[in-house]
Amino acid sequence: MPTSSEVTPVVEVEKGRRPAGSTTRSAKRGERKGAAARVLGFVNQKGLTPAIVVVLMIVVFWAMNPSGVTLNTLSTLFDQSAALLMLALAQSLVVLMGRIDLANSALASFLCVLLVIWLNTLGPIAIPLVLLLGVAIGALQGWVHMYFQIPSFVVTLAVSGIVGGAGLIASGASAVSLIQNFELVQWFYESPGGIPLAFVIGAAIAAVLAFFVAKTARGRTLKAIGSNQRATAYSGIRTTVTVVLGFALAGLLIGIAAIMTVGQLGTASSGIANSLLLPSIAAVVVGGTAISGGTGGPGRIVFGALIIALLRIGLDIIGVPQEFQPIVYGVIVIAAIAITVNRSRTLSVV
Amino acid sequence: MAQTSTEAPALRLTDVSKSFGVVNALTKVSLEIRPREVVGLIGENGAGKSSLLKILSGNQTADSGTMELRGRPVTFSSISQAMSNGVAMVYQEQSLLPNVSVAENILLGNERGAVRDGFYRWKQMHRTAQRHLDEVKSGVSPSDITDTLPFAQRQMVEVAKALATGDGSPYDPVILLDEPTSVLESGDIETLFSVIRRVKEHASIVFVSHRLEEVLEICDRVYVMRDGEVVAEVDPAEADVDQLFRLMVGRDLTSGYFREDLSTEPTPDVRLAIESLTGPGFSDVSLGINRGEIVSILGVQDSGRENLGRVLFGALPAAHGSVRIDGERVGLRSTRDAVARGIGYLPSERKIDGAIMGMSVADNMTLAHPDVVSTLGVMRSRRVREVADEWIRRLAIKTSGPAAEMVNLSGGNQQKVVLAKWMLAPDLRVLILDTPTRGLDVGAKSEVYAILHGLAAKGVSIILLADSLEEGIYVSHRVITMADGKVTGEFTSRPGNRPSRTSLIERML
Ligand SMILES: Nc1ncnc2c1ncn2[C@@H]1O[C@H](COP(=O)(O)OP(=O)(O)OP(=O)(O)O)[C@@H](O)[C@H]1O
Ligand SMILES: [Mg+2]
Repeated sequence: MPTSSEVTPVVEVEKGRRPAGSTTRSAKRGERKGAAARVLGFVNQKGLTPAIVVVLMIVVFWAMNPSGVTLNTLSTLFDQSAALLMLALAQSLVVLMGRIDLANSALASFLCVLLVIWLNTLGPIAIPLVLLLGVAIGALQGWVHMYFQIPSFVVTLAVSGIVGGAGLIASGASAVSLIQNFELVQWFYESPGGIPLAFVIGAAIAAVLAFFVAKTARGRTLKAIGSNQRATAYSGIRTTVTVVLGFALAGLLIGIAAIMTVGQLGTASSGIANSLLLPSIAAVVVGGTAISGGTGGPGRIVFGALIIALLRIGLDIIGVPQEFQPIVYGVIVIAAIAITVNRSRTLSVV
Repeated sequence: MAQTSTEAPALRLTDVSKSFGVVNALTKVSLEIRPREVVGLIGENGAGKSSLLKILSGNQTADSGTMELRGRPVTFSSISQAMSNGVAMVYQEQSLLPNVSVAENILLGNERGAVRDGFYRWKQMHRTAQRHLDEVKSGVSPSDITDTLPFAQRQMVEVAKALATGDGSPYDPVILLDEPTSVLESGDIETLFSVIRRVKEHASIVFVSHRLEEVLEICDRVYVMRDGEVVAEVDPAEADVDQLFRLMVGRDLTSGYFREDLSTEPTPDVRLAIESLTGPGFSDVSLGINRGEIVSILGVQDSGRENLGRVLFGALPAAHGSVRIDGERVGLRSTRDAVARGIGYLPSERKIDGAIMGMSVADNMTLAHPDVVSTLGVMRSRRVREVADEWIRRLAIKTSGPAAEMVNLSGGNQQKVVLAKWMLAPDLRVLILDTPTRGLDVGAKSEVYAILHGLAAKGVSIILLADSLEEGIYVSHRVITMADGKVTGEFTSRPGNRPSRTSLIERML
């Protein structure tokens, strides 16, 4: 039975009965609020929030430890975030399609192991091989998911187990080290003229992907599928092909992430990149891509990845132990989704 | 009309306004809904009917103005708050949860005795749900999974759900029905009307419909809305359809609602040749359609006509048979094949299959034919905008512009966007339309008919799964009837030589 407290009296009643003279004031207030809201709305709409957060974070860390924020640390920041950026971009494509890729870091680890082994045995051909394998496994995941109608989180979770095991077998369950051809992968981390290459390449790839998603017909279909797969199919678009393509592209990026990781460390083990799964999802959601698909995309990921990478360094600077960091990422993922999720869509039935 | 003058209105709105950015959805709307009456609400697409109901039902809040419930001022800050005060709404677009049982849907948010300690008491729940289903004379079982039901039955479940709200509330409920009949067939509409008449004994009902005859039949009082304002209050006993139309759009219903004046003779060459096509729910359909011919297919639910349309578009697999366009065989393997062959398809379930709500008007329009607005696969933003602007203008779509998100358009305007998606095709040969005028206002319907005649004049062959007998009869050159998956009749239809309603109905049953 409804109690009287459930019937909230109208606040406007009083306002509405005010003498005419007082309305101007409240109207003005509304206007001013409107201006602030407009600025926020603009920032939000243009996806500028993550960029602003990056700058704020640098300022805060600098304030906390001025000597900790130098050109050198910033360059380390870029080096460290390059692989993460690749995985986050891969994840963003998949999330944009309304799917999720839980195999992303396990596949990267597996490819790292193979890359080291193949560079040692096969030579330079190892690099295209690894990229190809990334594409193939990605495409296969997408196809299995679409053809058998198995939710993507199930398929990718299963694949993460499979490639994890394969990585263990291939590496003999121990770390494998590059004994030759290191120079083929290490150049990523050089800084000709003080500009860290890893960052430049990462940013370029992100820009290309952002262009792909925002400006090409094919890229737009990824978004369409993430918003409404049925209507997309009813528009004459091959949804299976598109999803397979999206996963394949993600696989390619994961391959690049593997090359970057090996280039940085010169060694690999079956779990080398595994800790990046949560940060990659965190970067996607912090960057403002809706976890439910259909909005956002690679353009926003760069700053998402930077935020996460900054956080990692920031946590080091202020002395938070390594083992606490996954906890932080977990909390961030939940908080970012809680803040950005479009609740009006879930609550209002229309 | 049954109200006594001393009784407070069930709901009263005074000067309610609501805007979305630059769009004023409602401007100083004042109206009242009295106990035990059916209030009609009519207006063109985008007039603000749904917006008004959403405010009444707690789905949205007004920018200003007041609302009184049974004499007491209220604001509903949530749907559940409105529900617990006995105000419930059946949405224009369906809102049931697809993969749970009918009973759960009916009692959702209103479980009362059916939940104890956080657990469902299934027996009790099914009993209550059954009672509400009986009330709407629905043959659906409470344990049916909702998305296995056909559209019309789901609509009845929605009505039952709204009725459930009144249950156990000490007040007489207020039930808001937003275009409940747009997806129903005449038999179901009659059932719904008898339900409304019965419920009226203890409830107030707001009834939105674009079918003005219906409004005149069922309502005790009618409010007419135009551009977000209530412009007239009408007594249906003293009004007719033409008068309502005039009030709605501010001009006369031009003679020839079906725009027969624009109809042109099809050329004698066969454009679409269907040979003994068999698919899910229909078999052995053979049909030839000429260039520039409009063929409407009439049939009740499960007549197989919807699936025929889907198979022709490659959205459902054909068992056997062949389809040729201009002599060339069509693959029918995917919607992609169909679009590549110049076939367009407008699905009946706009929200689920037609519109992509999260994308812009322009993106929705150009999705199926990106070539029109791109070079080498790269979209040209200016071209996208121009094309979208052009179609917004040509179809008189009410929206803030090409960049507006689809979700912010009124139902009828969304439909026009989906239509535009096919009309901008560079080489449209066959257009299949599954009840395209469903949910459109009278004026917009007439515009759609004009558009169809225009397309036919350009040589497009049109298959129209008509929404009503009249539409089928007057808009087309030929009427096909289907029943139980078979073609049962074929009638030429030209001015002066139209098939009669009864001859058609005979073949549809
Ligand atoms: N959330 C929103 N954001 C922006 N504009 C909106 C929103 N909701 C409604 N509108 C606009 O408000 C106006 C009224 O829309 P409403 O849905 O109430 O029309 P309607 O009378 O129900 O039309 P229809 O007969 O087509 O269902 C339209 O111009 C619509 O585009
Ligand atoms: Mg509406």
